[in-house]
This record gives sequence, C-alpha cells and structure tokens, in this order.
Amino acid sequence: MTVNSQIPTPRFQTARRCTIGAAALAVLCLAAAPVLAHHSFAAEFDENKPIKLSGKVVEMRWSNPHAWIYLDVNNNGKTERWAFETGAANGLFRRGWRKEDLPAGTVLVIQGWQARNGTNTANAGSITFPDGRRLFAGSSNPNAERDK
Amino acid sequence: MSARVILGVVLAGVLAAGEASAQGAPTAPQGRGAGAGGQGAGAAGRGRGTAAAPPVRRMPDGKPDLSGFYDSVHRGANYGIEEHAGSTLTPPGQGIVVDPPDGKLPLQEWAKEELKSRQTPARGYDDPTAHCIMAAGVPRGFYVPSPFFIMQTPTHIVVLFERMAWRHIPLDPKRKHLPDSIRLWQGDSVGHWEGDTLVVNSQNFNGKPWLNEVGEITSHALTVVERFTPVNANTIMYRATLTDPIVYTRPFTIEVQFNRDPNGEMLEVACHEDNQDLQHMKDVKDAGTGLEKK
Amino acid sequence: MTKRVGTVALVLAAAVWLGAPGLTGGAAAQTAGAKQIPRMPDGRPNLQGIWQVRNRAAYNLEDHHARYRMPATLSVVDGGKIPYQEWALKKRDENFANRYKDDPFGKCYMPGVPRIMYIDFPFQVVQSSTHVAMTFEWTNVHRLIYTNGSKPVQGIEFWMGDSRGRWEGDTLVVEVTNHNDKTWFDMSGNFHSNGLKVTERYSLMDADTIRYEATMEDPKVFTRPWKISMPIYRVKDMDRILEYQCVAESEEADGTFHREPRTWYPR
Repeated sequence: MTVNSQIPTPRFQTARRCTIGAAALAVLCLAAAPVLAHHSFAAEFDENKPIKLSGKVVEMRWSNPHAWIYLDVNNNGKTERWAFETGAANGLFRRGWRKEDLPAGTVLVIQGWQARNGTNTANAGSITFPDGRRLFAGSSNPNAERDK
Repeated sequence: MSARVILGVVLAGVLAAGEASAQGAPTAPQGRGAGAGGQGAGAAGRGRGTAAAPPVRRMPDGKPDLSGFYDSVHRGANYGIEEHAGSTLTPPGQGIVVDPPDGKLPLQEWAKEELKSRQTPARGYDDPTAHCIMAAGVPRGFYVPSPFFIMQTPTHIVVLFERMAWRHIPLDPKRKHLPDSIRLWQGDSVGHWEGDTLVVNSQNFNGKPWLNEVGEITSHALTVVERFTPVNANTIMYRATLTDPIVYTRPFTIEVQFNRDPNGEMLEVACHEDNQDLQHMKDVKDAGTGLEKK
Repeated sequence: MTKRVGTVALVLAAAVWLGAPGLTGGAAAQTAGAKQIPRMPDGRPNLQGIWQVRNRAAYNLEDHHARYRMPATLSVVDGGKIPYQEWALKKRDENFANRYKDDPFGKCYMPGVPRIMYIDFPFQVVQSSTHVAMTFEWTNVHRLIYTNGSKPVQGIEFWMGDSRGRWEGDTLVVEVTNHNDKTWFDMSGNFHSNGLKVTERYSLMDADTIRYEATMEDPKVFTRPWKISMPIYRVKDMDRILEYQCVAESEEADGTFHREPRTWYPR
C-alpha cells in the first residue's frame, strides 16, 4: 500500500470533465459520497493537491457535520497516520449505517484533496474498498436489520 | 434548461443526502415534483407538492398546522445563493433568489469587494459556523443541509434546528421587538397570520453570521420578513425578504421549499465538541500566503 | 323523596365538578385539595413559560464549602452524597482537582441532562399534546421531549440525550437515555458513563413553581440509583429568553474571532 498521487475524478466540475446530457452520464460524474460541512472546503483543502492513499482503518469518528476516518498508511516503509474528512454521521445513520460497519483494520482506498496546511489531512472525494466497491454506498444500508 | 443546470440539480440532490435524511435527487426544478425528504424505504406521506398530497393540516382554531420534521430543498444555497456552477471543492447551486428577477444579489460596491475577499482561502476562518457557532442566523438555518423541527401552539411557533440552535416566533400582535441595543445571532422575531401564510418580522441582528459558506453578507442593519405558506400537508413554500441598507442596494427575496417527513426525528449535531477543521483553517489564515481566489 | 333527590343531585354535581377538564389554556381545573395550576386544552398541566433555578447545584450537587470562584453549596442529592463506586470516587476527586481545565462545560461543550436544567440561565418551554420543547438561553441548545408514545432512537449517543416522556397523573415523567460519557453533572467533576439513564419528574407545585426530580442510574459508576430534587421557578421579569453564545463569547474575548467593523453591531 503506497502513497500515490493521481488526479481524482472531479466531483463538482461540470462542463469540461463530465459530458452532459443523459442522466446516466450525469451519474458517472458523481465520484464520491458528498461531504457537506459547516465551512468552506476550499478554505481548508486544496484542489491542486489531489491525493490517493490506501491504508488500514484505525478508527472512524462519527461526528457532525462531518465524520473523520483515520487511516494508517504505509509510505515507503514508514507508517503515517492520515485523517480524512467525510460525510455527516447523521446522514449515514439515517441510511442505516452504524459504527460497527467500519471495523478497525479494514483496508480502504481514499482519493481526495489535501489540507492546505500541509498536515496529513484530506477531504475524501471517493472512498472504496480495494475491489472498487464504494464505502457506505447507496441510499441505504442493505444489510441493516435495524429499525430506522 | 442548460445541461449544466440539469447536472447541478441532480448533484445538489445527491449532495443533500450526505447530511440530511436521504433525499431522492430532484429531477425537476424546485416546486414541481421535487421529492426531497423521507428516510429509507417507504414514501408514505412524502409530500411532492402535487394534487395527490393530503391537504394542509389545521389547528383547532383553523390556522394551518405547520408542525413537523422538515428538510429543505436548499438548491445548494449554502454554497452560493445565486445560481452558480460548482468547482472541485464547492457544490453548485441552482439559485434561490426570486427577486430581483435576474436572480442576482444587489450588492453595494464595497460589499462586492468584501465578498471576493471572503472567498479567499485565508478568510474561510472568518465564517462563524467554521467555529461551530451553530446559531446560523436568519435565514441560513433554513438552507443549510440539515433538518429542523417546527412546533406550533396557538400562541407560539418554535423552530428547533438539528444544527443545534432554535428560534422562537411568538404569535402575539401586541409583542414589541427588543430594544435596539440588544443584538442576537438569531435576531428577535414576531409572527402573525395573513390568511394561511405565517408572516414573521425579524430584527435586532448582531451582524455576525454569514449568509453561507462562501461569505455572502449581512450586517446589523438587517431586517427580514419571512412568509411560510403551506401548500399541502407535507410542503411549505418559504420566502424571505432581506433588507440591509449597509450591504445591498435594495431588498431581495429568496424562496426555498420545505418538505415534511412524518416519520422523521431529529438527531443531534455536536459540532464544537469535535471541531477538527478550525485549526486547519487557522493555519491557512496565519500563514497569510498569497492564496488566490478560488 | 325530596331529600333523596337532593342527595343524588349533590352527588351528581360533585362528580361533574371533580371531573370537568380545563377548557382553555389558562383555566385551572379543580381537583379536591390541589393548588390551582394552569392546564392545557388536553387537560395536562401547562408547563409553558420561562423558568430558571435559584440554587447553586450548577457548582456542586453535594454539600461543599466555598472554593475559589465557587460559592458554598447545599446538597440537592437525596441522602446527601452521590453513591460512587470506589474507583469512581477517586476519578471524581481527580476531576474536581482539574476542574478548571477539564470541565467540559467550561470548554463550551453541551452540558447534557440533567445539568442543562440547573445552570444559571433561563429556559423556555413550549408544549403540545405530542411534544414538550425546551429552549435554553445558553448557547441556543434545545431538548425535544416526545410525549407521543415513541421509543428512543437506537444505536447512537447524544450530548443532550434522547428524551421520551409520559404523563403519570399530573407528573411528566421523562426517560433520558442515549447519553455519551463526556458530560459532567456539575462544575465539581461529578460524572457518569455512557450507560447512564436519567428519569426526570416534573410537577407543578403551583402556577409558578416546578418540582424537578432526576434519578440517575448507572451501574458502571454508582453503587445504586440516586436522585436529586429542586424547585425551578417561573421567571416573571422577562417575556423572552435571550442568548449566551459560549463559543462566540470565548473567542471574541481571547481574540481568536475577529470583529468585522462594517457588519457587526458596534459594541
């Protein structure tokens, strides 16, 4: 698992990168779980510093208005702790996701944009398992047997 | 309608699902079948603003019953009140300004410059909600991507925001506003009915809230007239006219639809208790680098 | 014959008098021996209005002499002392020693339930037949008590808990669950785990006084359940509550949140 920089699929840019027209194409432009916060993303993260990492989940902080996933990433033999900002815990909860659905040790691949202050922090644009399935995908948790 | 706007509408709907209860992406412009609201499976009672929805609920005194748990169809207003394209890190918006008719905020010259400044990364730190000051002011609480609960009695309306804040709206024709020297984040509101529309007058603002994350501006001179018009049992059309002679050249009006979820309940947003972002933004501000406008 | 009719009439009249519910929000229904209290249209006691405690429980639930910046306190705990397990008493004492640094309320974190009820700021109650909403002047926090028979949400913790209430006669009984372990009961380090369950009881002693009781159950921390009780008084010199925005005030005072001279109301 290595640190690897790539241009991630843009989430919000329209005309240039995502061809418009049919709804199906529009869906392809949506790369990731949306991250709606309480502050300007652009003030905290840098769209010119895309990042793609994979690592093992240390913990997930189920907070609002957005949650945080902490990964231990192997960078040339050194383990680095990275913090990724992701969607609101309440949104996940309402779609049936729970804390136990992301156990520590889970391997994730996260694409995003690094924080401007140069720390090991990024805004997660796309979070997938190594096989490409999206974490917390869909409008509800199909495995949830819980009420509400 | 341009393809970009269609995409923006779809995106806004999906974006809203991140925090609010799950919403279907609106496939039509607001006000025509936008089916936001509702949790998980089961569309029973989900208002769609069509003839099929049950009629406006009533209190025993005949006034409309506005109570319930709501999501707003915010159209990306928390990222820009006017229609705007998205960028990598900023969601697009379809615009919520209905007056002036061109959909543009009538800013004074100094305010246009201030707005550009607020959109530089170093100034993100100056947004009070970045500090988790959750009292978002009026009307921002109604278009952040987070639900709210309206309680109603014959003499009182109370709005509880899931982003932890509240507004009291007494329905007392004799009620006077606070003295001018008392200024609040949420202002001071008084309401009355005009037919089936709840009309709310608010003033005594302290000028501290931003209108949204991109720094749209109000001052302590702000006064707001809101109109809540129920369309059916599960839909309210909300309009707010903002008058602010320090910032704008004339009043302007925004419109947002609220959709009720009869099965929804509030959760809790504890922002300040775990605010990781502020330090990052303070670092950017302190670095004072020549960061370009995004 | 006349005497019997008279007796029946008397009995009937008494039955009507005893059973008649209040018909308007302000009317007081009379039950034999009770003080007059305001009632809702549905007959329930009317808890609406602005309320505030007049005690010092916010500093310390137990007896204590004065300390720096803390007045002396008389215990509001039934039996005087909180029944901590041995390890927990040590932890409480450690919290007390570090209270200026560690009190979560001092950091402007939400105080939880029951602490929000006895801090020194007013709150306002709005009531319907399905909900009781409490809005607090302190940092605009609120509580929503469901009296519609619904059950607590599962699998999530809140700073302010999840409140579900029911009426037992004229007492509103509220079960508050889903607490996290991050709040204190007071400024003196009295604490709990996330297994805490609080049962509150609200009764109107008269039109201007609520008798408030809260029973704490937390087998991870205490040796048995314990209870606090106190009056909460109607505030008559305010017709609306205002705001104390803790984060804003702290940051403006320490210079980390800057005045914008063109838009902020002048000091």
